[in-house]
Amino acid sequence: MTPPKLSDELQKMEYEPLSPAEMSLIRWSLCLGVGLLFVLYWLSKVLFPGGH
Amino acid sequence: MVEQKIDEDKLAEGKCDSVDTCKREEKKGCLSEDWLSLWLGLIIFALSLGVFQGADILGWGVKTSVWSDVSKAFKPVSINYETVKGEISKIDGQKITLKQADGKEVTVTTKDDPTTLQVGQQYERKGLSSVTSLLLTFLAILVIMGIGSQLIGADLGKFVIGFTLVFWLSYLCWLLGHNAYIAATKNELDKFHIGWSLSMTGEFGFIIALVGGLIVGNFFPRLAEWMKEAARPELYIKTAIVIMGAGLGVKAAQSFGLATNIMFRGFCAIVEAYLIYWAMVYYIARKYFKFSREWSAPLASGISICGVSAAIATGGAIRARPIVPIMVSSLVVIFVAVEMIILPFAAKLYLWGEPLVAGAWMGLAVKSDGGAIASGAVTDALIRAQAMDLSGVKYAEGWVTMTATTVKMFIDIFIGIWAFLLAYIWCAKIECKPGQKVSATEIWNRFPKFVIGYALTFVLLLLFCWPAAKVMGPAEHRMNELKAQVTSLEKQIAATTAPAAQAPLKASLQEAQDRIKALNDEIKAPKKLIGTAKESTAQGDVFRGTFFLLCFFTIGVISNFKKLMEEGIGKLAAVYCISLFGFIIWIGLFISWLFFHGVKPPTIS
Repeated sequence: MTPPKLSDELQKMEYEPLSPAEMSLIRWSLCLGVGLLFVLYWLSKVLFPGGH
Repeated sequence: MVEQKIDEDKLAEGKCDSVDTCKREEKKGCLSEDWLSLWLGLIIFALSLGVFQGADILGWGVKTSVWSDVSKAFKPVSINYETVKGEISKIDGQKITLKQADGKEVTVTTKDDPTTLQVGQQYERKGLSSVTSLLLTFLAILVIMGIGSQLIGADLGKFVIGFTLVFWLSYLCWLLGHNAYIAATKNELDKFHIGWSLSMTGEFGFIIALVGGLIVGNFFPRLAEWMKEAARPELYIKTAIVIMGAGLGVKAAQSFGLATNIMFRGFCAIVEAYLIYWAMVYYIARKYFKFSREWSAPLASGISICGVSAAIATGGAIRARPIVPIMVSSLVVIFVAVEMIILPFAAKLYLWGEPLVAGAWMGLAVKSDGGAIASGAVTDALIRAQAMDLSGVKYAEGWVTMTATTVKMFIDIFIGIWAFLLAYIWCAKIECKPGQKVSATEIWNRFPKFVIGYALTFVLLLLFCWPAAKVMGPAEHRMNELKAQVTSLEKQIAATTAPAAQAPLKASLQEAQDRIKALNDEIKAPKKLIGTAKESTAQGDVFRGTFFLLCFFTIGVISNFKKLMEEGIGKLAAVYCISLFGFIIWIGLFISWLFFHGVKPPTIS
């Protein structure tokens, strides 16, 4: 039995343009990440002030 | 779910090529590796607790030390099983203190009638030989893992052969890594009568084991095939993590504020990793490498979150075909091996002043449980040695490992939640496969069960030791102040000649000494309890270390570069390489620095 080869699988792959829903997911994820970065950093400074 | 109907191993090995031919056969096993690691870890943990009842159940386990004479490289971890001899310097009931040939004093329990012994007399108590201790360790782990292999449905005969090869080759690497020319730190050169050393600490044995495994996996395929049934790095590391929880619990009890600090910051760090890493890798894979959604989502999870388990969870969440997470997982293993060789040494060179940043970095950058926590342990040893060599600061052991473990544990816990969220978003907004349903039970199904064991051993020892540690902490702090006061007063008395001026100083000195004595009496019981807890975790630690070692070696064994090249992994590897070295390790470093800089492990004076 022929094993499924990755190269064959990748060749079979069809092009799918990025949909608006995917772009929203990416944007939301990044914005939330960057926003939380500030919030959590502030929280860590408030809750554990000795660290920094 | 598709992957639940498919035997992924069969598919990966090319033994089938469709849903029908790849259907799972009825398995003999009744446990998953995840549950097995939880039970194995808990059994070893429970046995190590015997120390609290005076039963030294695991004391025969082998402990390997840095050596210049190989006959002194390993011995039983508990002094109760060791052969000891020397001159009796103190007799206290059945406990006698011996002054050994190297000048060190040890206290042992004797079975002889103490009235027949006297101070100054030579005494010898026979124990286990080093080789017996090593053999017992091997046999004990072989038996327990052999039973475990049956519970997960492995072939016992093949497992025994594979495990025997894996154990002894790993141990050989471990022993080599403990050679004084490789492992001794600069302050230990005189002790080993050597003029130089690489100052890598004994944990370099892990790296040698990894390289040894890579050599076997890539140049001796037939030998690797013999080891295949026992080449289970995730099983070994998860068992080790459950055992390690106890040791970290004792540390956390002693520095509770620091431990909660690390947990909070670890949580912050991984929230960032999920949200920033995943989106970036997914975008790059989709936009620039033109991967389909089916490939991009598991790839993004594999590269950005936690390798194998995240890739498989995401593959399941978006209903990708099984080959997708399997191929991503193969790639993850290869890059983990590369990262494990590079990152701990980079941390040693550039982050020795910020040990916990280094620990968090290992947790965020190395993409498998085994790789991350094992890298954390190597980094722990390398950074402590570097800090000692360059600045004379002696950091307490285990805090870097604890940070890497905490970060990785949070990552693991969140995989289920992430998979659930992705499944929901995919079905609601992106593409819903026929028959796809999103259920919150997915969170529990994906929850790494060994984390329960880690939390249990951690919390038990933490709660057990906390009352004692709470008494000891302030008392020791006060005692250090008093000792400094005594030193200062002694200097003042020596510098003063007038008896009238000396009198108040002497009174103050006496008062300080009395208070030290009172404090010593006060902390006697808590100190004993913490000491027993440490003894107990040291016994479990022998097995934790051995499982770490087996994990390193078997990661090497299963990392077959040649096979992946033959598979045509190029494009997939390119995304991985660009993402990992282009931004993941750097963003990971930035986030680690942001949340952990300035947070230092306790130092040992």
